[in-house]
Amino acid sequence: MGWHRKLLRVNLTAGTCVSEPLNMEWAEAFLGQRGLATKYLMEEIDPKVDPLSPENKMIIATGPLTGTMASTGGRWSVVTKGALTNAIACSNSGGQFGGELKMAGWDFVIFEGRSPKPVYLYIQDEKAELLDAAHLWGRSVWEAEPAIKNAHNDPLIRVASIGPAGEYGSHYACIVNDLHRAAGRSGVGAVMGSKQLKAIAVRGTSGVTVADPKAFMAAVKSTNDMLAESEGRMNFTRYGTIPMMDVTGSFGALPTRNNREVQFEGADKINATAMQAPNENGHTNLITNGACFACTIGCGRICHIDPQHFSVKDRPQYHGASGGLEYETAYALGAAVGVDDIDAATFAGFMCNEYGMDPISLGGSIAAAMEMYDLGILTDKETGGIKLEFGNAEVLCQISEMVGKGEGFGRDIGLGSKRLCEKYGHPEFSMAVKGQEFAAYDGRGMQGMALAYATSNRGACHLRANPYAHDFGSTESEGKAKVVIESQDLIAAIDSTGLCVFTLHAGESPDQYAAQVDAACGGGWDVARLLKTGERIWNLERQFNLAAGLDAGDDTLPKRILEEPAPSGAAKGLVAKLPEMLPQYYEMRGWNKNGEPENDTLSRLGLS
Amino acid sequence: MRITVKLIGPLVDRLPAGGPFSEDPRGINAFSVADNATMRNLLEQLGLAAELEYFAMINELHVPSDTLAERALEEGDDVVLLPPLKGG
Repeated sequence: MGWHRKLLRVNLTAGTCVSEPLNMEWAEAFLGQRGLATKYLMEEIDPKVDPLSPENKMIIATGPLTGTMASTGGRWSVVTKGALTNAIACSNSGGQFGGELKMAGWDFVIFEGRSPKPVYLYIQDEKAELLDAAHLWGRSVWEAEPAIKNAHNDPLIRVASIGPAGEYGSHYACIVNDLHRAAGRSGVGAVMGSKQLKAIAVRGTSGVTVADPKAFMAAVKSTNDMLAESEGRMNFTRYGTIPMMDVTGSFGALPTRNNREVQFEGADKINATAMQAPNENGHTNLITNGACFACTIGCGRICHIDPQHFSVKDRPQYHGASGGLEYETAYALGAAVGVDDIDAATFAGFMCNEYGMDPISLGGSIAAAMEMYDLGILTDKETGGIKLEFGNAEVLCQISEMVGKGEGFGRDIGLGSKRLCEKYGHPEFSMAVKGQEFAAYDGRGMQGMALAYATSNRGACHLRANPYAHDFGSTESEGKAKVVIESQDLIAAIDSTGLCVFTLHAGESPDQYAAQVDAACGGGWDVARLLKTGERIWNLERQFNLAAGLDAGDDTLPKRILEEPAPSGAAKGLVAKLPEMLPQYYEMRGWNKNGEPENDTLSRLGLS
Repeated sequence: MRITVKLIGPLVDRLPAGGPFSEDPRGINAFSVADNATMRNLLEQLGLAAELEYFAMINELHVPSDTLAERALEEGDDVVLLPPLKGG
């Protein structure tokens, strides 16, 4: 239980929607969501496939706790081969969409092929059909989602859709659900766009059951009681994720101006305090917090832009409330591009939600372009006259909208920093791993994060490991491999349950995850099995990447992080000590020197 | 001896009501501490629970966590205390 034991297979080429049983043998081994969907992808596609070809598949996956009353039990993932990375992509989102899909009676939806014309999938409980989306193609997420609800005369339909960025194939296009939640990373929106699939609309009324309701309620209550009292949960609720800016800024791990610096002099203008303080017009950016399905944390920030701000002064359609800055957005559309204007960063974030772009990769790509402009590699000739100067808030807003719409030089920035920098002959200015831009932590101050970035199966990512406490406690490389591996495995398991990884950061323990999964799935799940499942998933993702043609050479960092010492802060004078950490990591993983899992490791995990 | 202390981010929420930071909790605050004071003594003086997790920079240099509590303070030290945030 915890499952409907049913998936929907949608062949976009043929225009068919077929129900089939979920492979429960695989669910026993890979749990759900991230793990189980990766197993399906590995079995059903050639990992060498072009991610934007019809041969790639895109899996919408829930976990056994998605749609249940477990705190944060509304998570869902998109698993595919990533357009940004050419590696395994697993992009996780919240909002209400995942719970609704589960309520409709479906565990997974597998999309295959390519539609000959724009379509959207409409699911109403057991009924599923592909409908014409010609009238929606070219329209933004913020236009398409209400249009679909209106067309079906049902405001309770939940929609996940792409914007123009996904349609034209920006390599970091995302899939946005519930207007401002997103499966953001690795270019999953570009994959969806390549299939001419505009949206997935779901209305579900069938409910979700668990194997042992009494035990499940007890496990959920125990966890919720802990979360209610946890300091980490309180911080998320009161301030969201953005207080991290004060920590990394003080510590010296806040990537600034394309990682040229690690502390941002304008951080006080885009941090949690600034978000909550009235500006000179008496306008306050933050309105309230927001929570996803079944979440008792509520880290989301609901914000609005000062109507007098230049970005929206004559555009009343942007005066309303929507998803505001999180730490990653504030970093990418603030410190990374040297902008200290909270309303400008909020506007650029709105562009990401409206047009369907990952804000981390957008900010990282703009930052790379700004560095090349600063050095004269890019000039007004290439940019079409846009002054891509670090710190220019007007340019940030302008270029973000251009990328979203695919206009002018925005198309080049929509390539992602790796392809952009290669196009202009300077790949060294792309702050990325496996083509995916850094999150909001500099790997010189945070050695564990450096290793986590380098080894992340989906490219640079802050959500694939949990080295924070160890990193803020020690700038040495010693002990990082163990911390990174253990947290990678635990998070791989959490990402396969239907729960949010922020429960971990709020204090949820492995035994609390195991107790909830055990009660929902009918027994047999303890901490040891959960962690081994996480390790199995991590190694399966590694197998996918190796089969796709990636190798140990892709487990690296940009030259800047490996060779240019951090200019200030805790890591002043330090570079990322990846050459020390990576061999330890491979050995502890049970991989050979080429980063390939040894036969014994695969055998132990049931992957041989 | 005199030192300055700055609390970062949500750490201010750990302060007791009416404590020494009550006027400007997010600012740089000057304090007198005993000549042989350690970081543990400072936390106690500020009313911060010493058993909780902290990270620190002193005079812009990182203090490893395993030596933080017993770190001796010196005249004029600038102490920045960081909360144990994760993720985001």
